[in-house]
Amino acid sequence: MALIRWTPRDEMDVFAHDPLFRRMFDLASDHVAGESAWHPALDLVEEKDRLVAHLEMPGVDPAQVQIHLQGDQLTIQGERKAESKSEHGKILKRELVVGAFTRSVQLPYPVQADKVKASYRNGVMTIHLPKAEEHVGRQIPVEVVK
Amino acid sequence: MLLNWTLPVERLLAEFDAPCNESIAPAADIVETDDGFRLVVEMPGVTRENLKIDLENDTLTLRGERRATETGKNVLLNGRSSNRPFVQRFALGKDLDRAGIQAKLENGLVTVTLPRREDTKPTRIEVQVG
Repeated sequence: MALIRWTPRDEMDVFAHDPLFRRMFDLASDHVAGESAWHPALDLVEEKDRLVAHLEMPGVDPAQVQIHLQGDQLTIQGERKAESKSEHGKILKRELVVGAFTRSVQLPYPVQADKVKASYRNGVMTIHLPKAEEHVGRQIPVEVVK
Repeated sequence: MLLNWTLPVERLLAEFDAPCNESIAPAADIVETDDGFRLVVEMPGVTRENLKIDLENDTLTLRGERRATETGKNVLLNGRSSNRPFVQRFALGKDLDRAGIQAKLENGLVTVTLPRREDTKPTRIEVQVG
């Protein structure tokens, strides 16, 4: 088991399915701007033979993003540089959070670490994690005895 | 002059009021530059085809639709609320040049530049020494 910094908000992800809870705490977007307050929204979807993670990280240089897999713990780290620098003008309103972020999620299945693939498109990082062989559902042919 | 229509309080109220399938207001930066204003709005997952920017009267509306997270699949964590479109509105002052507005979409960020009209830019008055 890896040593992962505990982020209390991750615990709240279990409530994230609840529409009322979502709206109450506005889990969809972080309005509190500032350094290290960034917590990119994460979806984890289970498909037949793989898990797919989607992270919203607009304006991030994908080359600067690090994805680690240790045991069943998937960790994504990165940084967003300030686009709206003060030397380029006077900031009237800043809602975009800049700075470093870390998101960690415990995967429900072991995955094949050597086959994990990540792609970055339109500000969304998509990570494909193929399930370990023994966790891929297999169809068992049924022999009908007449 | 440039104002963001959706104030945080209004946004919060709208969130309570609106059904889940309605829009959400994404994070936005407003920067005043020498030539006008620059807006930066988060639109992760929005493609160029699905981004609409309209100027009606004095309101600039940015609307981005996203492809929802796969429905019918086993969603274990859902933090993105990707079924709702992003909508942000801004009120434009008379001093901005409508025809000069430009927008670009890059890595999920929309950047809109709004230049000031030439005749409203501050001008320096030369002082004659008598």
